[in-house]
Amino acid sequence: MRMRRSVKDGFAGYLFLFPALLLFIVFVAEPLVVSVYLSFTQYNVITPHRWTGMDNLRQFWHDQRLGLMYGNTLKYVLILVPMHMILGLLLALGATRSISSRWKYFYRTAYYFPVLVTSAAVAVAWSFIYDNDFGVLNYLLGLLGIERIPWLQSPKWVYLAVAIYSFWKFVGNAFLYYVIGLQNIPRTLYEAAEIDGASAAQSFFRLTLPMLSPTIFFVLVTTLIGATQIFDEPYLITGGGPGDASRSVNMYIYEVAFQHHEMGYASLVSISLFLIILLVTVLQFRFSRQWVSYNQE
Amino acid sequence: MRRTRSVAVLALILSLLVSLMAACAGGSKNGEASASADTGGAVKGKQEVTIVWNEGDVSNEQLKVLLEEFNKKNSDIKVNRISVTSNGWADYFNKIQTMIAGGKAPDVIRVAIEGIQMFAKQDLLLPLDDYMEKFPDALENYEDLHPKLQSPFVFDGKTYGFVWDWNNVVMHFNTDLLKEAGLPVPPSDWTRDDFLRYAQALTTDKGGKKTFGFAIPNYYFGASAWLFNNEASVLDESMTSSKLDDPNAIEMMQFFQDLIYKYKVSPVPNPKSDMINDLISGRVAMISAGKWPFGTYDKTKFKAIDIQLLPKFKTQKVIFGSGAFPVLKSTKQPEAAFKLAAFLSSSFSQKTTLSNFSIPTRISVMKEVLPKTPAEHWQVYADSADIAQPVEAPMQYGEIEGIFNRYMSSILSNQMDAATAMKKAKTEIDAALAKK
Repeated sequence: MRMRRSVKDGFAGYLFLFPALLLFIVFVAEPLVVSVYLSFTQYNVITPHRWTGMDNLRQFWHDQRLGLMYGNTLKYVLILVPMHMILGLLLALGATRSISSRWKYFYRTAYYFPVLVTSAAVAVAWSFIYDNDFGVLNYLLGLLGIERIPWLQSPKWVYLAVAIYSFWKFVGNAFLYYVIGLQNIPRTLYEAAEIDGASAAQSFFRLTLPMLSPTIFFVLVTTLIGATQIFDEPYLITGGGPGDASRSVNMYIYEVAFQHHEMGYASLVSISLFLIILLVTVLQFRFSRQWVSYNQE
Repeated sequence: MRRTRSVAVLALILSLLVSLMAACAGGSKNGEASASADTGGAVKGKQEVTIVWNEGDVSNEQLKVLLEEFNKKNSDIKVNRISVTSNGWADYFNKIQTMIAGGKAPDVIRVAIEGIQMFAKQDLLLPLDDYMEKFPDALENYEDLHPKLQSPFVFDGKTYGFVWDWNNVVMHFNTDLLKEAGLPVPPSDWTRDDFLRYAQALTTDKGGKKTFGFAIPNYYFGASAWLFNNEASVLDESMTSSKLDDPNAIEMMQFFQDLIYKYKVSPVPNPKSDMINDLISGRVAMISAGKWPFGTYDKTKFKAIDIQLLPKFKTQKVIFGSGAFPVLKSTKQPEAAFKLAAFLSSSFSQKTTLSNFSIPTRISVMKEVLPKTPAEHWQVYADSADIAQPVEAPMQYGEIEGIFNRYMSSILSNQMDAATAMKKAKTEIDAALAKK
């Protein structure tokens, strides 16, 4: 009787799992397996693919541009991850302080609103803002007596340009997660800390941060994956230029696949990026045990 | 009993999974092109033909007028339009290729010179010569199509399309700014030195409002026109090797860089620069472009405009790009598709659709339409057809355009000198051309 019930429950479980499993197989597992296969072929979409063995791998090792793209992507990660994580947290702390509800709603809407706006449309506006000769930003800097900055024309400045746009457009995501995490910390803990004489800094470092660590970890994992896969921001704002200065690995994959029509090689580069992200994410989970506390009691 | 039911439900789930995956995989095997039933099949005695033609080229209203005329003689053909949003020709061709690979091949496609080799060399296009013989009435006077503009669509002794529109690159002047500088529109034989004098005279800074003399065309088609005028080009005549390391090509690209950083008469191009609006708003006084800005001039009621040939450097040539409506080989309705392709090159089609953005390709229509161009020197468009040479667009056009634009952005942002950039670009382009 118990056995029959267990089988029945298991079957019901599989039935509930079926829709998600189906989507996973069709949109994740199957493309991944096909990509692995394609990375050993030459395929231009129109003519049938041809098995080329290790040719793509050889091209991979000798591809100087790819090394540059990985370097650029690393720069994006080093700039964007701390920026979204730290500034997103500061904004969330500001918006959850003891201010009136009206202001709380205003801040939350204001910070999250850019996430809802179409990237392509606002990117055009931002590229006008950054324009070297006619841009608003350089005009304002000029009023302050500061020389024009070649935001989109200098390999040095182009990352800051992308970072500012990325912050404005996407910081709302990290902000939202932090706000939810902060709201879940019981007020009574702060009251107890206050009674015990804890300063604001002590409350933040010894109470807020540990209690928020699962949220911080989630934001870290998602932001790092997002920054490693960066495409929209440089594609829309800089086009990858000047030259290759701001081109990311994902932009390169797009170029190889859809301009060069080398689906096989593009698949191989995609898999290399996938493996790097997988490795970094596994390491993050492993080390998370040392600083993430899920015990909220 | 229960076990039987469980097995049955499991089998049902598996069959659902398999059929759904099969549906997602599509009908094409190994990427081979095939037309799908919903785009190529006959419906209730009517032949259905699908055309890829963007709304930016022809509005729904214009298309309706066109198809009403087409259906007067071809009432048995129903035409469906697919509009593809794209970011340039390479992106557009790529999307059509994806449609073909996905088993949703259209029957007729709008293709510019930049893509004709790409489609033809992959054996995707239907030669139309047999249909021209079989249905002579479907095609209006072939001789009226300008032979030079039609030539890119005829190769290896086969006709792959009937040219519909074309564009070149000429100089556009904001005539209000010319007047302010006390300059007339230059004569057609103006030179490099004249151009530089104009650019310097037109570069002003009045009360904080900066005007630059000239906006550099930072894209393949526009820059190629200037290379042609310095006896240079991106590719050699056979389009099998790059000529960007040629001293003439390097000299031209260095001149572009000097216009920004040495002479200070050009703004640094922004990846999203809108030169047409810059000309209209007086931020720049000269731009080089084809007929397409006249659409924006018309919409914004901008009248202070005139045109002239590009200045003479080592020589004076005119570049052209033309477009037609080839038929895909995979079509299940080749006769209907041919009739549509032929009709779209007709006088009626060109008069209905080509007013502002492109130039008609029929000699008779050019004579009728071009004088209506709101620019004093409109004749430049008509005259240049005879002397124009096509933009270089081999099968690997998308990749070559990307390489060229990338190195050009390095030059224009002063990250690389022209000689270094052009030599590197040549190496990459040669490698791209060597691919099969």
